Amino acid sequence: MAQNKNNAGLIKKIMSHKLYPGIIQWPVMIVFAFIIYELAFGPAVAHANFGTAMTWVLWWPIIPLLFILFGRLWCGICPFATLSDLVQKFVGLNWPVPKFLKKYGIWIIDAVFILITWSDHTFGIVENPRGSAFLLMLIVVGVVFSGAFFERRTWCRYLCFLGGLSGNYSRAGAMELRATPEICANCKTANCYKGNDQVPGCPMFEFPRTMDTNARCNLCGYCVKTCPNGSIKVQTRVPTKELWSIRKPVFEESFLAIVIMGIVFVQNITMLSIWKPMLKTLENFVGTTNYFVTFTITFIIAMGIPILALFAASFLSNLSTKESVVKNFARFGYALIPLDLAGHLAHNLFHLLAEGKAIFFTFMGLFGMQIEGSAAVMNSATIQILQYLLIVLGVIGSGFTAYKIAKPKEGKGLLPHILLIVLLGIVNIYFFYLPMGMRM
Amino acid sequence: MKRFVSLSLILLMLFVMSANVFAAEMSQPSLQAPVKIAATNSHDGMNMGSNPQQPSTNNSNADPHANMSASEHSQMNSNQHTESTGNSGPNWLVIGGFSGVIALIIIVAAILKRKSAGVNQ
Repeated sequence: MAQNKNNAGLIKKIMSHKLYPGIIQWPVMIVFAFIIYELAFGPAVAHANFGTAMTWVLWWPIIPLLFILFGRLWCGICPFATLSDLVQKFVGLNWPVPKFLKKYGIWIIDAVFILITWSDHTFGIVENPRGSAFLLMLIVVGVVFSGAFFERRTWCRYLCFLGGLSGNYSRAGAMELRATPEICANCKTANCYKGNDQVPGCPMFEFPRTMDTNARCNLCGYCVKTCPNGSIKVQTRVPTKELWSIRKPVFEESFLAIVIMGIVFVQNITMLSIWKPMLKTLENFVGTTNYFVTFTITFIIAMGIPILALFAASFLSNLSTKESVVKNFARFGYALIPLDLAGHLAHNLFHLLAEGKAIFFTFMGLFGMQIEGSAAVMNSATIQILQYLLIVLGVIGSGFTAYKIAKPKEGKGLLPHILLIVLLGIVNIYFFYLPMGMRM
Repeated sequence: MKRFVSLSLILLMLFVMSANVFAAEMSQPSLQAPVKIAATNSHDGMNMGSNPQQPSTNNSNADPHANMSASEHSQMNSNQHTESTGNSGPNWLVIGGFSGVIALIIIVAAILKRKSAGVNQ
């Protein structure tokens, strides 16, 4: 534990350095610019495109791992955030955040996440470099608009769908940045929020003094630099601990947790060998081969089942907890986050390990070199075992979180949620048992 | 020193980009615009549909790529993608629209900022 504290102390030291986060932001920005360029101008087929390999075989699979280890650290060095800061610096009007964004931000994130997943399957984003470029360009437009007109990182806090995902995932993370209440009690400057002459205030609109969640802290280190009293501490913690005692559960955040589970289901189903026969059956049933129609129906069912299942579990749980179904849903929805993380990681582990060498192949392809060989880093059997292990860990994490969320003597109220978690775990394991298709 | 580093980085980027365009042209003789993103792209579900070799977990050699060379894999995917995207180059309509919107946002914000600065003075 002392070792852990020292490691976190090292991270705080890095954060307080004047070159942080710029020294990471700018190289990431350059790589990102090249990836967009490659997606838009490089080979039009995914398997030959370095941008596709970097985005969907490397970045997307490892990003949940970053959230578990370091919370929203990625958001602090994200190229979109750097771009927003850059635009703001030169032409930023710094208007206050519109009220509707504050009120409905998470719902917008939920809706955009669902829309992007749907678009991916109907128009082609992941498996089409031009589609990926189009998505990234759309995000850049949003980021530039937000940076040009609104203050701080409005995009990252209220609109970024990845920010919503990372906010949820980082709650289960193993590292946290917090202020020391005893020291802050005597503070009259609030530099952590307002900033000083050299360093801006919190870009995520957080006041570290009262911050009790990782969900909105991007570990940019600004508060570490601006605090005149050395109140900010960075420390390790038990993963999932934050989820055990959320003071004000928010329905939208729990809804996002179950939406992510639905998205993992959709991503899995459409990559499995059972997908084509399923599609054929559906086509016969609805009487059309129009993919927009058949996929949309599948999408609604795959997204709807987990949401309805959580409502059903909350309804049953509420019979004994006697709060309200919505409150129960909001409270226990957070328990699904570890399983979300496990599902996301397990699904993408396949792409990382079965197609990992594609990153090297496509990189060499940039110089006109064609390399022969398998793109797999490991064989499928090993990957499958790792996937099962991850899901088991996710089930344990979610089950334990639900147990901790439940108040004492809420045994009967806990049972439906535990059953739901186990059921979702079994479904995930079944999906990973079936053969899966490639991205590249 | 700072100028030298940034200049070197820009030159390196230009070199890699030119090499990349050259490589792309070598592999695709005709770069035609614009590309249409077809709904059929995903119809088979993430490159699964026309794959002649489905990965099988029941197979002892279950690694889907184990017995395939990269070129076979490439060929497999190329065939599938050429159906939907053709020998497509960059989508200039999207790129042009993107650049236009970005320029518009920045110009409008810059004008408004100037105006508000003038009012404050």
